[in-house]
Amino acid sequence: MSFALASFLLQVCSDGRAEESCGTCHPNVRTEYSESAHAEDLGCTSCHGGDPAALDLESHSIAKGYIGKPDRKNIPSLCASCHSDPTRMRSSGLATDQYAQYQTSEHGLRLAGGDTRVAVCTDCHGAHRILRSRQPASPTWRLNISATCGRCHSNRDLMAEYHLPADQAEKFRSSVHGVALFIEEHPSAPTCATCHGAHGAAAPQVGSIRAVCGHCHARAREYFNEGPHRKATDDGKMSECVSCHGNHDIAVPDRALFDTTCRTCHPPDSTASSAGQKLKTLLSRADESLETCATVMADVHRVFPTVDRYRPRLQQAKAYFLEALPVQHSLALDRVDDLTRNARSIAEEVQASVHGVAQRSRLRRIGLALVWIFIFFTVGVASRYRKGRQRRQDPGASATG
Amino acid sequence: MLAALKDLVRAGERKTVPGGPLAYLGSLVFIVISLEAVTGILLMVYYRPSAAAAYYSTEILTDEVLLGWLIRSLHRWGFDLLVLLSLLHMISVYFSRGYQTPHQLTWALGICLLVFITAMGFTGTLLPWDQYGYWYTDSARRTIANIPLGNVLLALFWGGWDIGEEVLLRFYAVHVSVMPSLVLVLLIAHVSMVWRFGIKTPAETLGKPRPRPTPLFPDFLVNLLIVVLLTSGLLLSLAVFFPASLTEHADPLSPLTDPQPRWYFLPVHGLLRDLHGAAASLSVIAFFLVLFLVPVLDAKPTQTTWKKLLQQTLGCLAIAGWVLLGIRAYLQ
Repeated sequence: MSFALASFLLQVCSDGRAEESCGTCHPNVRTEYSESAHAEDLGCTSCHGGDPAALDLESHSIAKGYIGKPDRKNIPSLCASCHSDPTRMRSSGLATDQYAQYQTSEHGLRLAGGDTRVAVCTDCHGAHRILRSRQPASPTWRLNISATCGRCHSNRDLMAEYHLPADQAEKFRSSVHGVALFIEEHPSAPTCATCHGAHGAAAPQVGSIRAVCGHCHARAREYFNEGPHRKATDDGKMSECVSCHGNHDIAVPDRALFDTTCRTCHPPDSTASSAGQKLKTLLSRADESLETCATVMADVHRVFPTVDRYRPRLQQAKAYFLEALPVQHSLALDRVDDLTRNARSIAEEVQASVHGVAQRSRLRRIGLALVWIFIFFTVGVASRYRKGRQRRQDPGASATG
Repeated sequence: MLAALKDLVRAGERKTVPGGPLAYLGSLVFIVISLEAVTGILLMVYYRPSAAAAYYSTEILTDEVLLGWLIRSLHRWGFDLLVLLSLLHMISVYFSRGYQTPHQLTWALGICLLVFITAMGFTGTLLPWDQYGYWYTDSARRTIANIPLGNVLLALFWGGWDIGEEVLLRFYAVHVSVMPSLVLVLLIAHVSMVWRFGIKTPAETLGKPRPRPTPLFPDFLVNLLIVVLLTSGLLLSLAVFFPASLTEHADPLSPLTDPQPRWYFLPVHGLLRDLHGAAASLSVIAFFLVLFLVPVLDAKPTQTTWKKLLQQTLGCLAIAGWVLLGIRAYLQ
């Protein structure tokens, strides 16, 4: 009888890791685990130890290597026992340096110091239902990362103990990056991990911020390094990109920044402030010219679709303007002036051409009206001639009519 | 000189034109063909038939050459009008039984003219080398490849599977040289036959007395002048309000999905797409064969009531079917 029951239970557990009997007593865990990336080639005992064949408490025997729920402080090393093994990771193509990175991270360093409240592998990846990062349900899928980090970093009480703010995730969501990630679903939009790192998570320090931002904003970094702010940063007088743009709550760069951020360091009547105002004027004027040109083109396009042919030229003007945007970080007024002047003059040229098209089309219509007047006049004369001829040929019919 | 002119006028007064409205329709077709020839020659002055230069030369012609836009637009709208007038002309000849002895050859020549004219429209679409022309031609290529012997046709007239410089040059040669020559020869033959045998009027078909022939000069020519002036006004209005479009430069890497053919190709396009392969091509061939054979099928001058009903019903059905096929293809 007991043999029959054992056979039945073994059969019940036959999906997933077939030989293991753990699911008999832990059915919910088994269900969770069946979705895990580990379910294909690992079993419960791979992490928890014990005897997978035993159906009673014998399976939890310490003598058989059972460790129960792993200690938080041991979890990274436990995961690393496979994930740092190049031989085992070869088939999955995963990197094997996550543990090494983790050990250098703020989380890893504090864990090594005995603080077990910091994030370990299971906090971000889950314990039993570990999904691949490319799966949308995974906590490490790019759209879920800010929520995953926010589970701890939005906890005010917990963060207060580390003297950290707890509004980063919220700020990020409404920032230009958050909008790009969540609203526009831009494939290159950054997540928390893009700037802070994933396994080696740490706050970028002054001196490395421009390098971190420069991963994506390479041109801005290049020009920033050419400008006078580079030296101020090296001297520890400013926090690079963050000084003007902020960090988690970065807004869409606006020309109004020149009115506020420059004055946080430079007096309003200083040369630096007036250079900032000059930059603002150059960029604003070019931007306005482009906007006006695009609006005029859209208006004229409704009536004269042929103005479409000027779009590539307008794109050229926009390209100059877009080039000026990173160049402004060098604070080189002459270069920004050159680029914005080019953008403005092309935009004005296109605007004039578009006006010309509208003007030519009006002339065509006037010409057409004159042609129709001529046609009606000639047709009238011809009809009159025809009727006169009919009357002469058939005077009787004409009189009767 | 003056005497010769007077002789010409007197000859014109003696020469009469029969046929009423049909004569004006035919004459208008002739005049629009002439307009197409003149505007086509003017376009050739600026057009450069190569994949690298075709689009830009068309753009320069449209934007920079004095009245270039007008010439191109007149050529484009003139062609649409030409096809429309030719179809109306053919339909009116059918219903007036103008194809009967001795007009059988005139009828057959007219159908050939219509086919060659539409073929000119097809080859002309590719010439600006813009996105529409490129992808429309590509869509037609795929359709042709589906019909029996389609690949042979493509190999002969297309030069292979790709749409490139070779195809553009072939289309250009056919559009400006082969087809115009054929059309000119057929047109001369067609007009000569009309001049020789005259035109059978709808009134005759209905058994009514034949209308009094109109003297060529001045009555017919004055009436024709009125028609031509009004048609010119219409064409100029279309050219000004809807100038010939030019989409983006042809880009083999940015396909246009299912570009809509010109209206006169819609029925054939729909038929070839719906029926596929042999059935479609046989239907089109059968339709034109029946058109050619109409004078043989309806050869007797007298017509019984039921035969008359049959002839007119078949005509109406063919027109309705053609129009419905076109509308269906347009909506799809």
